[in-house]
Amino acid sequence: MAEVRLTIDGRQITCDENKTVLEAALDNGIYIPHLCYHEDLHPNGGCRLCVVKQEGVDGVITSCSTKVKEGMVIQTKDELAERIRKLSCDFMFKTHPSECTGCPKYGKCQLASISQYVGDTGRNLREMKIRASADESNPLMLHEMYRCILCGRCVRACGELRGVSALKFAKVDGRMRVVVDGESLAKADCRFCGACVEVCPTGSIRDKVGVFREDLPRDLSLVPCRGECPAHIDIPAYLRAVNEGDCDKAVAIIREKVPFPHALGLVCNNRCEDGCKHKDLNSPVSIRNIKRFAAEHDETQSWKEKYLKVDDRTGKKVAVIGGGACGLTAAYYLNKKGHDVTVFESKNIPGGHMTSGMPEYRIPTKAVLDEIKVIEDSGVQIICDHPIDNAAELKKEFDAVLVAIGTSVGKKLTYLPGSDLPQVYSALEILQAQRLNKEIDLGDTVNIIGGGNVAFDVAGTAIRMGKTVNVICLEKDASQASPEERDAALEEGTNLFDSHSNEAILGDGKVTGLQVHKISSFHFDPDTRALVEEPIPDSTYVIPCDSIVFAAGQVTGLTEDFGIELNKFGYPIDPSTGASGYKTSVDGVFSAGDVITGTRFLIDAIAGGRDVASLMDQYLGGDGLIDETLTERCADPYIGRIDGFAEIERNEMTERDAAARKMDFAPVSEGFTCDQASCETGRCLQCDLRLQLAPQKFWNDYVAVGEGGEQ
Amino acid sequence: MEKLLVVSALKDDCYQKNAAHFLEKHLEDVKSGAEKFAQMSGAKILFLLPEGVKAEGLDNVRFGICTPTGDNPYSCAQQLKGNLPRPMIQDDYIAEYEGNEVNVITVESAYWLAKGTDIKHITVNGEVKEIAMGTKLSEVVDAADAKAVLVGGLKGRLVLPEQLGDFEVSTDFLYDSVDVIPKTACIVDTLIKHLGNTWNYSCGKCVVCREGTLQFKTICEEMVAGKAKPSDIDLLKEVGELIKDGSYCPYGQNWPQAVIDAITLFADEFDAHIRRKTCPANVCYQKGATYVILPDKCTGCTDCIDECDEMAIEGKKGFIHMIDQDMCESCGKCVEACDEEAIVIVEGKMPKLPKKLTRVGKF
Repeated sequence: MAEVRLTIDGRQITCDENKTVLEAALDNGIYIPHLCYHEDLHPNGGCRLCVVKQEGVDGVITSCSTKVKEGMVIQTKDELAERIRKLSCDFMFKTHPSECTGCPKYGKCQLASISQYVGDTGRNLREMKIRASADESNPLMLHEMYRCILCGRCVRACGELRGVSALKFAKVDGRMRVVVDGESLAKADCRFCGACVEVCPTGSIRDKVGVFREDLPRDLSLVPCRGECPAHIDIPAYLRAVNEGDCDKAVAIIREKVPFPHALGLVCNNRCEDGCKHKDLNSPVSIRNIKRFAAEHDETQSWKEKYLKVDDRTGKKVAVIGGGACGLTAAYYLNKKGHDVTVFESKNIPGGHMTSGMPEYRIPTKAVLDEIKVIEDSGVQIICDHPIDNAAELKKEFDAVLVAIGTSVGKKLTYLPGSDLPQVYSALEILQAQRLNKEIDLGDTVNIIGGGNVAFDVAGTAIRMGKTVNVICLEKDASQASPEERDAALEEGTNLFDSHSNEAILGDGKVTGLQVHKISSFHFDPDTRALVEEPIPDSTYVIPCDSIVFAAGQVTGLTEDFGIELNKFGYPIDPSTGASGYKTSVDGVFSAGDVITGTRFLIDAIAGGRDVASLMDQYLGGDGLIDETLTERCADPYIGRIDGFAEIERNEMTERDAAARKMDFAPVSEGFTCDQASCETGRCLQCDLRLQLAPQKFWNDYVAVGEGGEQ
Repeated sequence: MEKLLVVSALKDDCYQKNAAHFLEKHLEDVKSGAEKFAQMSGAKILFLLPEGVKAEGLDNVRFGICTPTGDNPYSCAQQLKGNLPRPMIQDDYIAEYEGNEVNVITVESAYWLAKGTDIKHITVNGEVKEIAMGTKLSEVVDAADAKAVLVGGLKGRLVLPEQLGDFEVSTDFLYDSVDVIPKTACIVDTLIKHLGNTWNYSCGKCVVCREGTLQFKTICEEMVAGKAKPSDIDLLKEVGELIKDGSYCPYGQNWPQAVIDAITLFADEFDAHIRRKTCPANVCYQKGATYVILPDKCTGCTDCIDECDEMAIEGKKGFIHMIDQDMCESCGKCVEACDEEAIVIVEGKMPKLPKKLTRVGKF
């Protein structure tokens, strides 16, 4: 890399010989106006704003496309150059709407910023407004080409940088315009990467309002899947790795944020997919199933060496109460930060709901234990069959304690007559009994009260135990549950009694049936949370059964004996806020996961575990930085053209027939095939590529750099 | 990278038809010249021809549109990719097409490579002539009765017939066409048509050429619609010089000269169009010539005042109305509005008209 010396505006500058005059000037805080130049694109030379005077050369030179040469003497504020700039600005403004304040790009427009710097001559040139109407036909991007000043950055970004060329120049009524190369962006095989929006200096090509959240930092907002994920997993990066056939790398990327890739791939409620922009084109990318594919094809586990490496020991001791997803996640990171972590699990197996609160056919125990094994390998000690009665007492032996016991006690509706009969269970009791091989007396027919996902988890489990299963719920169509889980259970033979309310559990020493009536509507009183229903007269009857299962929510099961302050529902509270939070009433005792949020999803527990680990590390004197990089990123921005890209349909996993799958507890699906995974990852819009592009700068940004440099 | 030699016949414009002539009359020479050139670099040959030109006897042929940048490798590569032509002028830039490095040779250069540089092809008034080097343009064109001569078409100059002797044909002669503008032509009208072509051939890449051609065309069109201002002449000269300095490619650097030549050489004719709204050659302003209100017929009814979109009629009820010639667009709507037949087109001598507001019957 040879260097050359040149003089710009009287300043001696030394720079790399491959730089252009414009780059040399900007790097040294000398601003030369420019518009069609973009640091990620090949110089174009069309806007004529960056012209400068080179001593010994007639006229002006184009600084963005002229390489520096030894001994060059450049004047950026030459009179002719400034007159040409002003003329170019005059010309562009004659084609551009004169009113700035109504423009959504107002205040962020490079054209306005440049005209402010360059100035106006007030020449009597003619108005040449562009007659183009706004094109809002695409759900993601909108084109208002009457604002376009033809810098061509979008065309070059789409063509040179992405290899897509969905945008091109064309003459419309004799005038040059940027147009879509086809009837619509979709028909032009646009990949919807957003590069055109990112480079547009004016308000001509923009993201539609509402496509990206405005309440998140840029790197999360522009990559909505990552933004929606509570743990902010770098989703586009791992989809890309799977697409390249590198599942080890994909798992490394997932593990940078969560220690349970496989478990999440099986049961995550995939809020990332709600963010996926592809849903506006047809349907979101099947992110969760790709994660499962990656976790199940992670053969060499090349991430492991880095993953198991831990910081120097701090000598601090941490106790984690509860070996579920939240506790184990926190344990992993706290151990990584150098603290000695012991996890106390009350059951005979760690994993919390993953191993005992969800059906085996949704999340096999082995998959979970394999992932917990990695956490143990990193140095975390897990002690099972070891319930903790009092967190405050435990704190005396440890430097910090985390209460992550989740909500592990199933609620029973005790006001219902007969709820004290022996064959009345909570959902968790059934699920745990099955997972942990405990005897349970269900009889032949099980009536499940409740209409959420857990009710159908129990239904699926009971069906596989060979029972006749009835689900009784208030909601029409069991609308509280996800349609997929409801339908799967119904296919397997579960009977649904929707719009039903319960009156009493019948039986004398042994359950014989559930007395119910039909309702036409219901709601919960906003003040007392009591059920208010509209019964259908004379609809009372009995659904016979041998056992009753309440799928009516779960609670912490904590009492005051636990040594920390609780609210009236049994959740720990942070006295400084009066609400549940990561801190508790006892200094050094923290809480996280379901135990503070109520029953949520796996990913929430893991995200909570990360957050609390960071907080606890700081409490213990660390820096709280738990983000790690397990693999390098190398995203190729040249994504190329794919015929019919926007119309590629979402892949769905092939599931076993209901008749076959209800016979055992094996997984419902084998997961994606290699072809499906490859196709599905190929559907990703790669929103993250946009972050590679240099953000737009304004003249004051460069001048500020220069002043800083001189000091 | 493999090399691709594009033999470009796209450098013609609406004034010159040299490339078609080379292909029709000297195809073998062009081919052998191109092959000679290609051999030096080991390049494959591809012919890039204007749409509609016959390509018999050529193997690797593609079509494009004629452009002033028809000799620029990037511009040709863009056309091969199906895009509009636009040049790239950078020392170290390598134009690329399907993984090949694109080099360009024009059909004229190829011909010269094969046959030597004794002959220059120049389109004279639409016909291609083969002219020996060293010939003066005054020997090529009979311009005795010409008003002016456009030398070099879109990238050329406008000169008076007696200046033709200053142009001598040589290998680095910049001009490929000569067009005689007859005495009967209106120079403004000729310039408008010329600027229409100039605009049309601008590739649109750089702001000053793209917008400059459109602005110039529009301003000149206003000159024959009575909308231009005297200051527009200086505007065109000043901006024209700046476009020459500020344009990206030789096309933009050259086209303003013909405009500057025209308004300098024929200042009176432009002035007549702008200030007096008349066309000395009787080509423009044919729609209505000059309208006047005859003072002895006007009854001061204000009907014509209401009708005039340009607010060009002065007067009030009971006073003789007067047309402000600077504002009049010669649309003729006032004539129809007048029941007294007081508004007429003047041919020849102007009648005597009131200079200030005068009561009806007092003039």
